[in-house]
Amino acid sequence: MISGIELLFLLFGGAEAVSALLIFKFRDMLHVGVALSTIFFLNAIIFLIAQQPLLAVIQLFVMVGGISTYFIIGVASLGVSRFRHVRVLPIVAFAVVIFALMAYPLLGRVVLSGAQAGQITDSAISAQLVAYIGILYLVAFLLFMTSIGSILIFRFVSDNR
Amino acid sequence: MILSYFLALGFGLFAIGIAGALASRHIILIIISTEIILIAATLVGVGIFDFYGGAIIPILFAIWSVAAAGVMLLVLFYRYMTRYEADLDVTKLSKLRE
Repeated sequence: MISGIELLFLLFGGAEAVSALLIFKFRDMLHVGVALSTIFFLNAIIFLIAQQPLLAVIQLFVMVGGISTYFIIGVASLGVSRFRHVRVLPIVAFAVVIFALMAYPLLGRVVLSGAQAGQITDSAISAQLVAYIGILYLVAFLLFMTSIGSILIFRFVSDNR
Repeated sequence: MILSYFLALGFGLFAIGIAGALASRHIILIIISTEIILIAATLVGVGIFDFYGGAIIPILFAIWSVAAAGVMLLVLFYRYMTRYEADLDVTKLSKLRE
């Protein structure tokens, strides 16, 4: 039986996932910025559900109040940019495959064995879970460094042109 | 709160971010996908440390700083490329040499 707090988590978590998908569905910069702000805001609500009010406040101040506003003003005010190279269907297919590959080792055993979902906390090993967050952070950091590299290459090439 | 909910939502957001970065060629969407991955990392981190205990604040500040720097660079990059009327399609960056 799902409790009230779990129902709230499912509600806001589902809304967050839908907002993440809507980023690739929208065609202009302003709506993408608003969807990104919505994700940050819903993430703060989930922090509140997890009884971490300090993290929720920091998330609201830093991400929603600062970064999203900066993004919307800095990017969207320069003119509406249309995205022409996005297809949502491959993104959804990719996401399902990657989610299955990542979630099966931790969550799949519990679901397939018919046990309650709460038992995952008993069988999980903390070192493995820390390794999981390490992977997530590493991938994001690599993508971030790739973006910086593309900026530097672009500047170098355009200066030499 | 059940840990598996946090893990499922974090993995789902991570998968969406990775898929978005792989499937889209627009530089802004790639960096926003990075932001989604970082959000997934914060979710998984909060879920883990909420269950196991420990200091989550330093890790979250590291993630938030990368996210903030990413958006700052995104805005600078976007202004730079729009000033020089460059295409934001990353697959066309190699054609700048022509």
